[in-house]
Amino acid sequence: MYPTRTVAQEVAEDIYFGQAVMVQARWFFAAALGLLGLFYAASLGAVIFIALLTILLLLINFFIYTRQLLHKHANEWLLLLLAGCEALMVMALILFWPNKVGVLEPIGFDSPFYVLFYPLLFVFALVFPPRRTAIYTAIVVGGYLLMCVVSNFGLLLDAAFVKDLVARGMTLAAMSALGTFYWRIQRERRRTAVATPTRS
Amino acid sequence: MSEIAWLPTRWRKHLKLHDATEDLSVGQIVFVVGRWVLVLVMLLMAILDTGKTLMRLRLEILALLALTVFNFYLFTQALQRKGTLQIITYIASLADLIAITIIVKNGGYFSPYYVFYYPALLVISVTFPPFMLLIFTEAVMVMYTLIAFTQQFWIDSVPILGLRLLMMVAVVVCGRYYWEIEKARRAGDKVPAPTAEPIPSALPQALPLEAPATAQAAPQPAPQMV
Repeated sequence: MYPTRTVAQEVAEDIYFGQAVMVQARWFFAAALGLLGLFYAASLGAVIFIALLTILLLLINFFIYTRQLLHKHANEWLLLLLAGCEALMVMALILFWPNKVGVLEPIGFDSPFYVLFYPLLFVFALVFPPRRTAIYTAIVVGGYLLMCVVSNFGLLLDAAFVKDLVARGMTLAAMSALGTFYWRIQRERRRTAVATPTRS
Repeated sequence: MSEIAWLPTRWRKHLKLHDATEDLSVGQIVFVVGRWVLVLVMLLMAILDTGKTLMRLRLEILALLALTVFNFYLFTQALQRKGTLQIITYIASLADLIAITIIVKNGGYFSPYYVFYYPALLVISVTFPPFMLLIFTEAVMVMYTLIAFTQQFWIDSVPILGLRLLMMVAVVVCGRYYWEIEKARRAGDKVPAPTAEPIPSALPQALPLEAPATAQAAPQPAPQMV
């Protein structure tokens, strides 16, 4: 293990080792997709669609997991692309997937599937540097809140709606913020560990 | 470990409190920041809720002030790099989770404030030892399930409840897994440095902890077909 590293090397190592956490989160995400598909699909086509999506996600996850087991370098852009696709999938679920059997209309704010964002934001903050995490969080949380406001514009005067929106937005942002904070702490611990002499 | 000397030795080994102490000290600042977030969000909720009585608002703000004062104490301990007693950290976490549960209890399954569990579980997952993490996570899941089932629940909501619980487990597992990875990386840093090898400057070649065995083997020439 090299005793000194550049910042870029540290970032590359963080991504290489941290991608395992993203893999774990993706297993849960795939399980959640399977759960939703089994219970809330309104038609045979929807079941097939969600099943194919789940299988695709599992295959991609297995590919990344295998690369890490074989000690191949981490493809940072692939991980970013996957994180973006997952956020888009959750957004699409929120907008279009029914949470009651037989319901086909778009849901938006009333959709309970925003909980899928919590582990996604957390693991992104653990893997990527703070600047990228801030951009990703701003896009995901801002996009979700904007979607809620646009789909329920008349409820902006309703205190309960605003409270709910604030609670969701702040807790989502807190996942990223705390994840980034912990990432920084771990980086400092590693630097301290490297700086400690290993030979007498 | 004077603060755990009163525990029987067998329990101390089982709880792995010796490993936990350093992580609790280091994770203390995350714990404190997480509680600040919780206090801020709860204060906003208290202010935005216009339908409550003045007495109730007073009680909520008093409770938040007490939480703030206690958080200041933990914050000063962290800044002075003094380790807080583990038992105090556990009690503080338990108090936070009970406070969230009381808030959620009013609406049951339909309460939108179950989302407060996620940052709370995040902080616990990166700070507590495995045994305590398991206890706390299970307690949260059982408490929330009981609340959801007892208040206006129907069978159609079981998958959504399952989804919420699954995401709680996801946050905890990912946090704990990251902790394990970082522990292994720090242990790898303790390996004596190799002799005079140039540090690669070109990226994105990442540096694994151990040199893969396959990379060191000389590539075998492909058999020639006749």
